Amino acid sequence: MDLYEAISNSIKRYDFDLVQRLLYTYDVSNIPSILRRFVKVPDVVVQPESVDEVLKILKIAEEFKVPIVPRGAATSAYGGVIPLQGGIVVDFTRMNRFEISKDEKSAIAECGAIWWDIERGANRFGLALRVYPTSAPASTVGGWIAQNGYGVGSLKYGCVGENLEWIEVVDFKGVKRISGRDLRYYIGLNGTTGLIVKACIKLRENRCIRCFAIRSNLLSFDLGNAYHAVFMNREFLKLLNSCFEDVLLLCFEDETDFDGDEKLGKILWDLRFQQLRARREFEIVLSEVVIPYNSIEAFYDEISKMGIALEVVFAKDCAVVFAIIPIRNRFEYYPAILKALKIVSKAEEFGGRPYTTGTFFSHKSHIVYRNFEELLRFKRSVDPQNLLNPGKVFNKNPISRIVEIAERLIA
Amino acid sequence: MKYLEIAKKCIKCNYCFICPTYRFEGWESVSPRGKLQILKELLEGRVKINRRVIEDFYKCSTCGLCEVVCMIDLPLIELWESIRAEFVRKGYAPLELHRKVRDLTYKNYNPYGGIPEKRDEWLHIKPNEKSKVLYFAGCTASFRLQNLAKNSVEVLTKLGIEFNYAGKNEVCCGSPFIRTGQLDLAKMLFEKNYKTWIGMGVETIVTSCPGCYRTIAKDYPKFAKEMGYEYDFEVYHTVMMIERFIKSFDEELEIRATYHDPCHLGRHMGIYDEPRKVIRRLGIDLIEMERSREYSLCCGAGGGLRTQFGDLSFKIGRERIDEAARTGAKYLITACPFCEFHLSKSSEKFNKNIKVLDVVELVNRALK
Repeated sequence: MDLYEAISNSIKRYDFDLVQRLLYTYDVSNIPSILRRFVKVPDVVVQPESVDEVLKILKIAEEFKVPIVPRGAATSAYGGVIPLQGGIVVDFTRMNRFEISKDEKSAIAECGAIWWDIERGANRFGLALRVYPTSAPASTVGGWIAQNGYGVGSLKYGCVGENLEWIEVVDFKGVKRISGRDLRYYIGLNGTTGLIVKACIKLRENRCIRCFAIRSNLLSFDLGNAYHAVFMNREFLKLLNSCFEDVLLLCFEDETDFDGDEKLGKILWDLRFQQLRARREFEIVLSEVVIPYNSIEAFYDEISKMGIALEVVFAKDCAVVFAIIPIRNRFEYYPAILKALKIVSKAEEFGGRPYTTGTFFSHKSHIVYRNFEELLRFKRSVDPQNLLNPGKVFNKNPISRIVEIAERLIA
Repeated sequence: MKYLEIAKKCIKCNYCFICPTYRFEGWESVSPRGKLQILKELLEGRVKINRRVIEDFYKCSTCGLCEVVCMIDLPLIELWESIRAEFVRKGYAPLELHRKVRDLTYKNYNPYGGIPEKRDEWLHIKPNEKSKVLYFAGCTASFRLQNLAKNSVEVLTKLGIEFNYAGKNEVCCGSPFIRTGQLDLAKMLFEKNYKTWIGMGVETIVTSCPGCYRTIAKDYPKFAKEMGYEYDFEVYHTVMMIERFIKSFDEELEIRATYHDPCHLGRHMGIYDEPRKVIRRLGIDLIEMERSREYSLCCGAGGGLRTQFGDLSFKIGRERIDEAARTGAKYLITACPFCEFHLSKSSEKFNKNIKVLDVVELVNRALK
């Protein structure tokens, strides 16, 4: 039996068509054409509709020794879903059911459920998500958990990993429910230790969010009891066409009154899912880093000298800096990429790290994951053949090696 | 913008995943984002065109929801239509059933195969040949939902608007062919209608079909320019006239209803408020569906989808009917014969207890 027969006999939704397979080699990132050769078109794309099918896919992967690349909506720009060794791309978007429990204040969602669908579902019960990504209208539960992302609400509630009761994971041994400290073996690991198929997400009371904008060029504020806080420099706001001064947006989940511009606050709040609108005008390169609070001001002072669009999202115990570097002509393309890398190395100088490893920074796992050695031992125990999203987190890959060389050059 | 420029501009944010056909088909190749990537791959020579690609580009009702949610405002409706036209030019399309409709239209000047001489069979009011206002019934109202055509001219008459009508000289506006890329036929139909209207001294055109309205108001001026004709008509959908001229009704209809925005009236032409104002003035208790106005779900019939991919089209129709039923309304009002036809059929097919009506029919009922 070959791979085609094995898949077609066990899985309802699969596609071996070349054009289709090619479409599953993308995410939001634009890999430079010289590096695209390292992206390997998968052998097949499958769309499981149940955990049972996911188990069958893993069995086939093990039998044929082919890699598995889990994929949600591919709305991230770090290449976590890009196949680097071909294999089976598992598109989870058909596993998108969810249930809201009013009593438990939680949502039990399959990994392909869309964040904003859950929010709307929760709202019907007077509940709301505690945190959600700025790609919430289109991104999936599994995808964001596999990145351990920060987003709206992270100031009060932290990263997504801090807002989970449990997750259900499928690996070569079967299905398991994970909670507590063991979550660290899966969250933010790009599906390299198991495929996240379900999650129990903590919810909050749905209270009216009031937002206030404060025009200021300073980062050192008392963020008080805000639920969400984000600083946008004037270059960033220019790209959103909304304001031409540096602004701090403070959002509260109660009736807090605050001395700020509520009208502008509302406008900026409504634009929270539109970060990439800058692309209307020109091509862009993105960079995103996590910085400890004690060095955010110094780091910001340093990179703001670059004159680029910056957004700083304040989380519970760190700040996430998001940079948009515009490319106005083709000669600016590679310099923009180098600028993006420069931001990452600066972040490291200030005790920070890249937002996630994905494809581009898999050589930096020891910086991103403080318990890397422990994770590596775990990886070896659950995936001895390295079939789960190879080239990510636990191994370098040709693209990350080239990124590494480029980093040395700019250093 | 050129094709490649548009395709390269796409940031792949996936906000367009709400595309109604993609929600059912599920494969990236049917999603707007996926199609933009295919386009890029095709134009950069990494993939070759094949039957599957062509079909996937036609699995789209050109409803325009993707354009509404596009963060970077890509002109997607125009893009999908232009690509289909390119496929037709290169001989990859029309697809079989679209070709069948094309053949019927070449023969009868309407896509339903109706006999041209019977086009005015529904007409029971004598038109005023001197009027400069033309009522354009369109093919669906002429051959399938004749009640709509009858109600429309009765309403015009009650409003005191004397209208002229082209009778058997009225031919299909060409909308189904523009949406499916068959511009040669669409232009031929334009020329026929245009010459008739000029001969009749028409200045204003009123139609009760959003497909015709969009085509006559938005596509015909482009054709005219390209073909060197002067084009100076005022074009209205019936509901716009009603909203303008009737501020209150003799009789109030005490029913609970929801309203379905036809894509060609709403997203394509920006007419959202007029039908709602008319419905409220009728005394109807209007309950909005979860998806309405620019975010409205398509009925599933447009863009050649119903013709070529009937099952898929009915899946969308069923979803819309279910959504309407969830409001608790017994009536689903729309302002498009094509939506009415497809949603009624969907309601029948899936045994749903909701009656689909055109707003013009209700207006006529309430006017003495």
